[in-house]
Amino acid sequence: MMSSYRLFVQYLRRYWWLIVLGLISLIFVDTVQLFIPRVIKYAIDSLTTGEATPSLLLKYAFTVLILAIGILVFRFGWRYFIFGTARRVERDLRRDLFAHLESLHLHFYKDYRVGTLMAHLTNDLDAVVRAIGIGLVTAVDAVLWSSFTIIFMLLINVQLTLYVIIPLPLLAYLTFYFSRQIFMRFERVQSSFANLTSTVQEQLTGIHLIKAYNETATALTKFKRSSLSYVSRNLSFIKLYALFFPLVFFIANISLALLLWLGGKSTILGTITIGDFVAFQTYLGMLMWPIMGLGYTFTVLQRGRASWQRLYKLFATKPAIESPPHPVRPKHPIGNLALHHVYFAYPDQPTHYVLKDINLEIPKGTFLGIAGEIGSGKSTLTLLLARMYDPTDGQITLDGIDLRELDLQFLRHFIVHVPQQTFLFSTTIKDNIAFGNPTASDESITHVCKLAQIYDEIMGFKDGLNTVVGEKGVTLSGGQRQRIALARALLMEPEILVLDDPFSSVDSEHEVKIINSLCDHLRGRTLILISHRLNSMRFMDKIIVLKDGTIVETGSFNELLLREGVFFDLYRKQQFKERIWRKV
Amino acid sequence: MAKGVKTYDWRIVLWIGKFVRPYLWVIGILIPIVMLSVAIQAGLPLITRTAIDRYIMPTYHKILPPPNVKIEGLIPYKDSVYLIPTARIKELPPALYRQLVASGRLSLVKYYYKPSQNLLVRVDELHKLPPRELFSLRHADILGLYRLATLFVILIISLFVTQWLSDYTVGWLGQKVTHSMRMKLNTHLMTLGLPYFHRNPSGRILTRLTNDSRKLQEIFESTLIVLVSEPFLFIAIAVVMWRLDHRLAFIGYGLLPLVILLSNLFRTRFRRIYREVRRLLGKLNSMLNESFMGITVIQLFNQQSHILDKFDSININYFRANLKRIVVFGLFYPLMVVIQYLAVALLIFYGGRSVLANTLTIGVLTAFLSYLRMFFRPVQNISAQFNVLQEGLTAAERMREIFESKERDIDPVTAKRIKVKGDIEFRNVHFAYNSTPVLKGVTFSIKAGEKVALVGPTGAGKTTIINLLLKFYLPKEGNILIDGIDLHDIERTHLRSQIGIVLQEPYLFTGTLRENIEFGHKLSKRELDHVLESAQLKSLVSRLPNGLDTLIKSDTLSAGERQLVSIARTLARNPTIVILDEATSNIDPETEYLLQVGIRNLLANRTGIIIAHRLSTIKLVDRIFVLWDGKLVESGTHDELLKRDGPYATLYRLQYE
Repeated sequence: MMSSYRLFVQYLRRYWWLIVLGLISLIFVDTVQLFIPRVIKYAIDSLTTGEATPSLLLKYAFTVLILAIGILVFRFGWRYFIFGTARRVERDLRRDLFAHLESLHLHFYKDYRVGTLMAHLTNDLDAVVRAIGIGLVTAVDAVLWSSFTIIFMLLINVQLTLYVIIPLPLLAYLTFYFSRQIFMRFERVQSSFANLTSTVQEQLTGIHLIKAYNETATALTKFKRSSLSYVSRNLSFIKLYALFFPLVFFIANISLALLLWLGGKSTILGTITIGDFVAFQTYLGMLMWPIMGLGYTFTVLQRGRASWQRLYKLFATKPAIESPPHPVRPKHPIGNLALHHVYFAYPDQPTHYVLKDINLEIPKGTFLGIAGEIGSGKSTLTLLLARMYDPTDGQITLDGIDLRELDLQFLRHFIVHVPQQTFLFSTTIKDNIAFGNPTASDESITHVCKLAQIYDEIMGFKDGLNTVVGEKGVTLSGGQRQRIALARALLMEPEILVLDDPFSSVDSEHEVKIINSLCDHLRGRTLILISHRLNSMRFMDKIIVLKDGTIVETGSFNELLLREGVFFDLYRKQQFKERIWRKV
Repeated sequence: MAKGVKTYDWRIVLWIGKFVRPYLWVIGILIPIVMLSVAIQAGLPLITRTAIDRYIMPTYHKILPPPNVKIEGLIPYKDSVYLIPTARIKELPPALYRQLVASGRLSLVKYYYKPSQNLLVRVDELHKLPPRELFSLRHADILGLYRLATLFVILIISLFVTQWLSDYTVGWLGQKVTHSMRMKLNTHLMTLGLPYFHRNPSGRILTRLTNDSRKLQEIFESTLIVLVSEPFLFIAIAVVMWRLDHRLAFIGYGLLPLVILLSNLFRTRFRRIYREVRRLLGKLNSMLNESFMGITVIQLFNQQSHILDKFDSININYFRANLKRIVVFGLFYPLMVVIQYLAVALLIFYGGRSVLANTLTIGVLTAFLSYLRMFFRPVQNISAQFNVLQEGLTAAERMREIFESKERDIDPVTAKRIKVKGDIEFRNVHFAYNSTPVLKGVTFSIKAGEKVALVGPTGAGKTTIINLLLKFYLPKEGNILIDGIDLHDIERTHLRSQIGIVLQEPYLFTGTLRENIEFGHKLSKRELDHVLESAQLKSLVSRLPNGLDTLIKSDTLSAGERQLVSIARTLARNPTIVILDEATSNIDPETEYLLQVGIRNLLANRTGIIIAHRLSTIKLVDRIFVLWDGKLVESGTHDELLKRDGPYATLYRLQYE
């Protein structure tokens, strides 16, 4: 992995010619702008000395106009080239970051909360783009232009220049100080705004309860507190912000006062001409922004750098699960899975083994049930099969080949895993089902919907398969979501289907129906099922029972019940726990 | 310029005005401050003019007035020769001026004049004097310049103070007004009934209280001050320019339509592009969010590249919109600069010719250099604020809509506050959300202290019965009676204070465990202790790092533990009637046991209505009500129902045997 600095330069280098064009335009604008006060000076001096004629004045006026049009063209140029470059880098960075994040292993997403990642991809990216745009511009503008301007002023009169630029360093420092403080206070405003938002959100989610408990007054008090804290942070921001610009103008005006005093005196005494005096005034006006920019740039660059470091940290995270350099893509895969002495511990708890010495053969066509209490390692085991994690020790093979040697795409086509947490995208039901197989025909989509026992319900919606899921559309029940997720997996026609408690929100009547039709449909292929409803295990050829990460029992449903061991206990406990039906 | 504000907007402005009214005194203070600041801004270039024309370069011309003409304000110099200041030449009637120049009675040569010594020196010979002599000659001018510079400093200090004060005041005002609006809005919201919240997505209501109020706040922070000060500044500059020189003022006036035209032209484009950028950014972020949430599915289904393509196409569109924004902004601001320089060019040409003709002084020319630069800025600033204003007014309009909804959650004054014993009766109750019937004639009665389980599939009407009992909704037909009194006549908040409710998905607020249990209802240490004991929360409390003061976040507690907290919350209020919607999710056996005990304690000596999912709970109740498709199809004890061999028995067997 290259260094953070080199990676950054690499992104900029793609657009070096745009940057060069931008900088050239910028230098051009700066130079042209420097000459305008000079033209004005000549015009005024010619008027005081009496050299002026109407045609000479016309010449001066035209010069100003032509210079102005030059400014228009080149100023547009630098904005377009430099800000355009910043936006291009933003675009590339966002795409690359997204692609990179997509390739990262599941565990990474346990460390990073979604909100944090979002913040990286929005705020940090923003700060970097700003640093590129403003950083490049002020590098030239603030440094080059202000020094040019000061040189031009020095050429007119050294002593006067030295006097009038006295306040300018103060201006730069104040901008630097204020921009940092203002940024900081603004962030505090943002966080209290987020707090206000979550207070309201909470209130709206819990409105039922607030009403039932007559606690509207409590809710309002809480809201008032959030609102007031938002107000007070805003006021602390405003206090500074309202001071900033008036103060900046004041300091710039002090330069003008010095000019009036000392420059006026020099003009009276003939050290400088009136034209010089007027030109000085214009130059001072022009100096203000780049000097302020200088102060502002420090903050922007500082933030950009910090943000870049955070983004770089994301880039530097290597995917833990990848296809090997020379992946195996079996031509005629059969589908015999085997686990040999598999141990597994999650990276954040390396000493706590979730799975211990698992040995298991799952020949093609097996219907395997996995039972066990919460936390016994069932889900982890199935995640290993789909290579969402790699075993800490031992190996898992498909037809004798270690999963880590297989092409990842092939593997995840061959083995489809339906995770416990159902996730649907906020698009149409059809798009959700066709997610893994976007070219699927309507018939096959209908077919899998029927298999998952969801077809009739979907047809009951006004828009049928084109019903949009989520906030903007229909709110589906947990059971409906789970069945759609199942249909999505079935459409992939996997050789090995892994279902991690896929019916927890489906009522038992539906569950039985689904498992029945699934078993018919999948005959000849492998099904691995975790279910908390042990009744579903009746349909499995073989059941393994996990306890504290080891297989404690293996056998068919009836065998296990007869054995009166762990499975039997679980089953009995469930009889107690089992909720009664939902349907009468 | 007023085109941007539609007529209906004025109504909203008036509505906002209601919230501003308590702060009218602030505006009363603000306006003089703003006026002062505007006056100073418009006046500063005049100081430079005075400095040049009076102290730096005061020039005079020799004039020999014709005997029959009387010219006012001439300074006698020698014999019949008088002096006239350059600044006053333009006041001479043009015919007289031409006649004077033609007859050589007015010299075009500029002189410096020192009245105290009655000394006249040609301007171009002034600097040929030895420095010491020049200094003593012009000593009075230098002193005058110092005085002027001092005045300048006083003015810029005043400017600083007034600007600071006014910027802070409008910001403060904005905070106060939007805070009171938010409070008023939320207070109103809290009086609305549940039907309102069910009909309106919470995201939309949320936006009204947060983002929309923030947009409105922006009107105060940036727009208000601009709308108050900039028109005055504009007028002040226009007047000063007119007073200084009519002809040069017309340079500004003449270019003004161009500036307004361009500002308006670009304003609509800015708005369009800004919206496009915002829309795409929203799309980009929601896609980001969704992809991270669904990363497992994406990886399991090998759809990384497909999702990346989709993401990148939005990403590219966003980039294009941004590029468009750069182009439009990149054209607008430089174009404005060109117009400014066009004004400077015109000034050099026309102004310069006037100086040559002695009808304009250098000081006024210089002042115009500043004024013409300042003149267009208010127009640009006001125009820039129109978009903010529009956005803010639209936001205010949306906020106001909430005030217009009248689904109040209150009873007529005739409703009584009764102390409930706990008898509940439903008489042929019908109910429908919108047009879908949910309850189709439900009749039952529950005696005080009795415990009843509601059983039935999703959508059978269990939750509706609870909503009706709590008076969240009113029945369409039929009557609900508590202690024999129709619910219509019972005051709802008092009623609710006597009903405890434990929801299926217990909702915990951000806050400590204690706050979540007390939930606005302060408990003494002994009461709290008793509640914890009854709700089986003692072991949980002892396990938490800070005990009762542990901050509860979404993943601190398991579903079962949350239900226990919810039970404690209900116990804390000691209700007469308890409604319990049992959790369906898997709960570990230990918590399950605590829950059973907690539920038993909760139901003791109270009327209980339980939406049951567990056999163990079912066995606890006196009677079971079986609901099916909005009707009560069976009721009785567990054993009775089994014996009856109805739907309850059939499904019980199917499930457990």
